[in-house]
Order: sequence, then C-alpha cells, then structure tokens
Amino acid sequence: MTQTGFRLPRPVHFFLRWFADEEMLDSMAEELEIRYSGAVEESGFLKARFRRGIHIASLLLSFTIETFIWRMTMLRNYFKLALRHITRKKLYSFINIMGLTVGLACFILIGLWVKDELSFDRFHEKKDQIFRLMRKMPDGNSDWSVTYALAPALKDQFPEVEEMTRLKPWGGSLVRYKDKNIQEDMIVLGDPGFFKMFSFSFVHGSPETALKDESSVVLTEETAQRYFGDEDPMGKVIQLVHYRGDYTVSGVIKNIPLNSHIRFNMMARVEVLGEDRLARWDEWTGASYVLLRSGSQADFEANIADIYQRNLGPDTTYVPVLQSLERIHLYELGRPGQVKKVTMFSVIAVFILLMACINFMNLAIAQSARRAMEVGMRKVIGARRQQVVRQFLGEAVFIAFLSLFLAVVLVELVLPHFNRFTAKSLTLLSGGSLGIFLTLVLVTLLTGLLAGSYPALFMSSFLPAQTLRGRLSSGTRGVGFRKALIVVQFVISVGLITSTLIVSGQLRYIQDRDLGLDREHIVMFSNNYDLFPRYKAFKDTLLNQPGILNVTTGAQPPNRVQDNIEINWPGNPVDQMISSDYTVVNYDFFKTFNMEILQGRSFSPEFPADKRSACILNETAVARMGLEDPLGAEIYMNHPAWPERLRSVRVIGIVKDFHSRSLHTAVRPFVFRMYDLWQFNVFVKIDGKKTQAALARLNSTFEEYSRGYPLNYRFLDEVFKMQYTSERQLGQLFNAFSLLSIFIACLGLFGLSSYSIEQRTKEIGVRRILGASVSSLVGLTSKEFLKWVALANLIAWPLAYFLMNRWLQEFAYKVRITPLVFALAAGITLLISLLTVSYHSLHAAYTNPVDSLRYE
Amino acid sequence: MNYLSRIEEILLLAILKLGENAYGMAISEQVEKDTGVEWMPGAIYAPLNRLKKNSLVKTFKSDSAAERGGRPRIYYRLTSLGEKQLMSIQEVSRSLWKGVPDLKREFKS
Repeated sequence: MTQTGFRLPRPVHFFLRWFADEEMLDSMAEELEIRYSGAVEESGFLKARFRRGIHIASLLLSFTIETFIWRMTMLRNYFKLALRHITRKKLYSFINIMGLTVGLACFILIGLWVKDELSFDRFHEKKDQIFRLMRKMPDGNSDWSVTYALAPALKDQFPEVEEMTRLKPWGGSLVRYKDKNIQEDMIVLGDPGFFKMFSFSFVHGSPETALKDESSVVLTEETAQRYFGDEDPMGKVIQLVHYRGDYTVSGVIKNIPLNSHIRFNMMARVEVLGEDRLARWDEWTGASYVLLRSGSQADFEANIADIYQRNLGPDTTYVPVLQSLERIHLYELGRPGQVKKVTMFSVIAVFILLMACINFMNLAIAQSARRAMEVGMRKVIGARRQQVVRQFLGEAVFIAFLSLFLAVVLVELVLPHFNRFTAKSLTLLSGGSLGIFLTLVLVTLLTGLLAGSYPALFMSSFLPAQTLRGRLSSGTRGVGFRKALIVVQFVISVGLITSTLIVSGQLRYIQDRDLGLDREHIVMFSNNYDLFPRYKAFKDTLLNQPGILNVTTGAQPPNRVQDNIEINWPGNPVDQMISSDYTVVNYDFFKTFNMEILQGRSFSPEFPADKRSACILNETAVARMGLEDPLGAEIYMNHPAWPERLRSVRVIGIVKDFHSRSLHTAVRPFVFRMYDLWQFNVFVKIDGKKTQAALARLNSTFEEYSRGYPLNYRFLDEVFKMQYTSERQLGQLFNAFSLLSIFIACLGLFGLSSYSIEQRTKEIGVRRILGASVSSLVGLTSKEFLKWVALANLIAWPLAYFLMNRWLQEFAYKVRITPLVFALAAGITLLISLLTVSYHSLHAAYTNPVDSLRYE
Repeated sequence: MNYLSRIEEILLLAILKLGENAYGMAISEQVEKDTGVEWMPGAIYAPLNRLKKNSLVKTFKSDSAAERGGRPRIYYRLTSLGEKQLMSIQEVSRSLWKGVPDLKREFKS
C-alpha cells in the first residue's frame, strides 16, 4: 500500500466523473489499488490485472444502471408534466406542434430529395474509375459531345484505359416484332465496353456477351416485356424500321434506376453508323466514357492533352478534359448546374426548420407569464435552476418528438404527390435505411434542444418572489430578442413572397413574349420512309381537306434548334469562321410558322435552284456578318458530311429574328436551307376552330400514305412548354414555400401578440371604460406589430432585389423588377399580420372590463 | 420514514461500526464481514455515491498525506440526517421483529 497512487484509467475517470465527485473516485481508485496488490501477491500479475478489469467493469456498469433507473423515474415525471401541460393549453400546444410538424416535414421532404440528387450514379461498382470525356473550349466552357474516333483511339494508345464506350442517343424508331408495332423513343448506341464499365444487372445474358455482335441489341426489362411478354427474348430478332435493320436480342437488363444520368430503353452498337462516320474526328456528337486504372487519372489527363491537336491540326483550340462519374449529374457541363438547385433547397430546408424553432421559442415564452407561478413554486420547494431548465428542455424535446411522429405521417401522405412533381421515387418508411432514422432522431433532438433552450433559460431565471405575486415585472426582459426573431421571420417571408412574384412574372413573360413564330394549332409528327417519297402527294391531298391550313417539313421545330455550324462569307474581315445555328426546311416553312420575311423571298418551287443552293438568314446573322446588301451574298456552310458543291449557298431572303432556343440565350445568327435528307418532322397547321375534324382528316390521310406507322403527333405549344418545365417547377416551389413561410411567421406573430396583448388587458379594460371604441383599441395594439412588419419589409427588399437580379441574369430576355412587386409583398404581409394580431386585440377589447380589472 | 434500500442500510451500519476508520476499502471489508459475501466495487460505491448525494453521509480528508505519497485519504461519516435515518430504521426493525422467535428452529420441521 505504498504505491504513489493508482488512478483510474483516463476514459473511465472521465466517464465516472459524470456521476460521482473526485473524492468518491479517489476512494474507488484506492480500493482498486489495494485489491490489486493483494491479488498480485496471491495469484500473480496476470490474474491480478484480470481481476482489476472486472472491478472497473463493475463500477462502470453499476453507475450507469443506477443513474439510468433514476433518470427514468425523473423522465417519467417530466413526461407526465409535459403531457399535462399540453392538454391544459390546447390551442397553444396545437399551434406549437403544428409549427414544428410542418417544419420537420418540409425538412424531411427536402432532405429526401437532396439525398437522392446526391446519390446519382453511385450504384456502379467501378464508379471511381469511370470518367466522361469532355472537350474544353477556349472560352473556358466545356461540352460533353465529342468525336466518335476519340475513345477507341485512347484505348488503343494508352494502356491505363481498361475499357471505353461511346454513348449516342439514336432517336426514335418504329420497332417491329411479329405483330407488335411500337414506336420506341429512347434508343441509344454504345460499345461492348459499356456493360463492362457500368453495373447494370442482367435478367438475361451477361455483361460479357451483351453487344457481342454488331447486330446485337440489349433491352430493358420493361421494353422486353412490351414485345415478348413472358417469352424468353434472347436470340429473337426485332426490326428497327427507321434504320432499316434487323437486330438480335443479346441481353435484357433490369430497369434502369431513376437516379442514373444514363437512360435508355434499347441499346445497339455504334457500328451501325458505318465505318466512315466512326472514324471522324470533326463531328461533335454523342458522349464517350473511359474506365481508367485506379489512380491514373491525373497523369492520363496530362498525357492526352494534345490529342485534338494531333488529329485535327495544331490550331485546334479544343482540349480534352475528364469528368468523374459522380459529378456528371450535378455539374452537367463542367459548371455548377443541378448542384445550384441542390444547395438552394438545402438552404431553404434549414431555413424553414429554423423558422419553426424560432416560432416555438416565441410561443413558449409567450406562455411564460402563465407558467411563471409554476416555476416560482418549484423553486420554493427546492428545485435548482438546472432542474427547471431540464424540465423545460425535456418538454421541448418531447414536443419535438411528437411533431416528428406527425411529420412522418404527413410526409407519407404527401410523398406520392411530391414524387410525381419531382419525377422521383422517394421513400421514407419503407426505405429501410437505418441512417435516415438515426438522422431524423438526431435532427429532432437538436430541434427540441434548440427550440427549448431559450425558453428554458428564460423561465428558469424567474425569481420566486416576483412570480408568486402574480405579476411578471420582468415582462420586458428579453423582449428585444423576441422582436428581432419576429422581424427575421418576416424578412424571410417577404423575401420569399417577392421572389415568387418575380419568378411568376418572368414565367408569364416568357410564355407570352412574341417569339417571332406561331406555335399554336401546329401539330408535328415524325416523317417516315413510306411517307417521305410521297410527300408531295401527301401534302396536296392534305391541303385539300378542310381545316388544314399549311403543311411543311423540317429537321426540328424552329424553337428547338440546337445544331450549329461554322459559316464563312466573302469579305469576312477576320479569317475565322463564325458559329451559327442552322436547320434544314422545306417549302412553306415560314408560312406555316408565320415567320415574317423582311427582305427577299422564301424558298419556292418556282426556283429549282432553291433546293441546292439557296439560304435564308435571320437579322442577327446579317448584323453579325456585317453584310450591307445581304441578298445575293454567297455563304459557305462548313458541314463535314456535305459535298463541296452543296456547301455554298446564296442568300435569297432575310427572316425576322425569332427565338430558336429558350429565352435563356440571346438570339444567335441563323441560317435556313433546303436539304432532302434531314426532313425528320412534318408540321401541319390546323384551323383552330375545326381541330377535331382536321385531326381526323390528318389521321386518315396519314394512314393512306404510310402503312403500318402509328401517327404519334404532338402539339407544338406543348413541346414548347416543356422547355420551361424547370422554371415552372421553380415557380411552384417558391409559391409553396412562400405560403409556408408566411404561415409559420404568422404562427409566431400570433403567439407573441397573444402574450403582449394579454399583458395589457388591464390597460385595455380601463380604456374601454373611459369610452374608447373597439376599432381605436385594435389600432392601438396592432400599431407596434405592424411597425415590426414594416421594418422587416424594408430589410427584405434590397436582399430580394439583389438575389432576384442574379437569377434573372440567366435569361437573355427578362422582366424588369418594378416597385409594384415590393409594394405588393408589403401589402400582403401587413394585411395578414393585421388580421392575426387583431384576433387578440378584438378578444381583449371585447373582454368585459370587470373581469380584467378583477385581479387588482 | 424514507425507506432505504438494504445495501444502503448495510453501508450506513458499516460506517457506524467503523467509526473513525471508515475509508473506502475498510467499508468494503466490513460489508463483506457482515454479509459473508464479497461485494463487487460497483455494488458498494454506486449506493455509497447515492448516500453522499442525498446527504446521508459526508466525507472528510485525513492528514496522512505523507504516507500515501501526496494525497490524503478520504473517510466517510454519517451526517445528522444519516443518523436520524439509521435510528428510525432501528426502531422500525425492532417493532417488526419484536416477538419473532428464532426462525432456524421454527422452520426446521
């Protein structure tokens, strides 16, 4: 017993310190030491150590169990108290629980969405080794469309490339098998390496044998079901009518999960495009991916830096860049894309939860006047401040978990609609993820602690003497902080309302703005091999039908052109070709879309040369090229697939500027020409008053001229709407969040005004007696709150203006932000606040003064 | 009366019996002697901690710093509250067991 002092091991000491004090720990340490020495003498070091371990374990166990049991009793007590409190004050509790429930539900929904967005493409085993090849352009932007020859060249020349694949969306085609004739839209082309790199599970076949022949095709389970039902699809031959080929089914994969950026129904091999096209280094289309050996990414990127220069000439300015698989969904073009949305929504989620917590705080404190006596009594019988704090914190946490339960129910109810809206399949309860459950519990716990902290500290500081007198003379303490909280809530609300107004204003502007072309009552459908040679007859027949106004064809509808080409012209001061959008069209194109020809004429059968060597420019093209006398000028269109004689065209007309792309982009130079081979779509303008009849006529005429092809037509204005789906969704989301935030802010105002006005009940009673009218009293009591709301407005306006300006920059054509928007937001918030507060004002004003003065 | 658990009662009695000499290890040994069973440290110190928290016992330091290499030994003593508790337990026990004969003989048959 002469040891200088055995101490308990550090972590044990630290842990036990929570339960016992230093002196007790000293005793324990001493006993352990005594027993240890005794044991060493008796049975040696090993056994002694072992016994000491057992002793330590016994200490740990006993203390935890005992405290747990003790705490359980205390918790049960707090639980009873909390329950009693909630049932006593039903309205208040209801508001509080509702606020937290809504806040938590929003948080959960957004959390699920964010988690899904971050999970894209994670199901591939070799995801860390997969990279997409991009090309970087001199202005710093990147694009993912690369040349066909790139990937195979890289695989040949560099051993660190283990697999490669190209991925080209091929477009739609009619697919035939026995008696099934179905139009498929998502057909893509790839290489055998595709299934070796990416992990798609096979229902029939395997990654090694899928796409083994040049005529192989791989289907998804769903697609196979359409043609083969329950039969075994392997080895069966289907016909892709559009591409005039027979393809053998060599594999069926399970349906592609929604969180994959690669989507298709069918995949065939790129070889169907022909050797010539695949050898091209100058056609920029389709994506390519490589599977690199682990860790070789950086060096590889450096090694291939000059690959474009080597194959296209030293003055090529493109540089190849690698993009890792994980980043593709969020950073589509190498720049932040989708990830901006993800961040924005995460921020909103946290905001809303924060607002709910602030609300809770305000409401809890608003009730403090009533509970002050309770707190005073507790302190008198000996509760320490810490215990009071714990009681209120426990209450808050209890309410938080109650809200969590309700929030989960709410989320489950709303989830199907939310899924439809976001085109995902999110699950909460059946997700089976322990991680989600634990996160939710943690978030709720934190929410409860956060929301309960301020009220707990506030209420535990009450001095018994004051409270038992029945009056809270410290009623003005902390009011400043609470005012600030309310102002913050309203700042958020005003900000959201203003943003909503501006976003919907911009949306309306986009949809109403004159695009320079008609899109109403125009129907489009795919051209096909039967129809194409007989187009002229088809058109004549159709035009004779009532209700059909115009017929034309083109590669794309004029508002969905994404192809560009390099053009040159004599007198070009810089020796560099410029990039222009272009498309190929047919006669009557401009008439059908009501696009105004400002100078010259449109393509016409009266001038046979039009088919080969004529073009029409838009105003921007003329301006860009600086042509003073454009008619008759010779333009050179540098398309790699056209023979030289077709590349020179003469300008025969100028068309008024129109929007070929969404209003995010400014109008670009545009060239129209005629070219037989790419008339993919037929456009028919219908008389709006005879739509039904016209469509029926169209159907029957179509059947005459193309046997066996289904007529899948679409209205152009629907197609147009799809361009702005994301903006529309944004608008709807902002709408929803504005309403939510106003709702939560009003809850807070409701609670706070209830407390404040209640404090003044006596004053109001006296004023009533002295003859004040109800309306003047309402005005008197509401005045202060409205001042806060006004302040919130003033703070929010510049913030909203700044943020909305930033968002509007994305559009080349935008609305201007007028003061009307801010005035409207102010009006809405003031009105709603007034209504909220006047509830209490009226209640106080109508209370019989006798009752309120009774307690004096 | 505040009904103490058995072990708390045993601890209080041990401290009483040990008088001036009631430090950690001694208390353990006394309990072992009284009950005939060796107790795990946890089973002694957790209740002892409770007793201290409820102010039934108090601690005081000895001056034997030199012997123990710098730290004084902690001794335990009953507080007046503890003494009162023990007294009421004794009273209750007396009245409970009053008139009960030797059970070893009673239950033998």
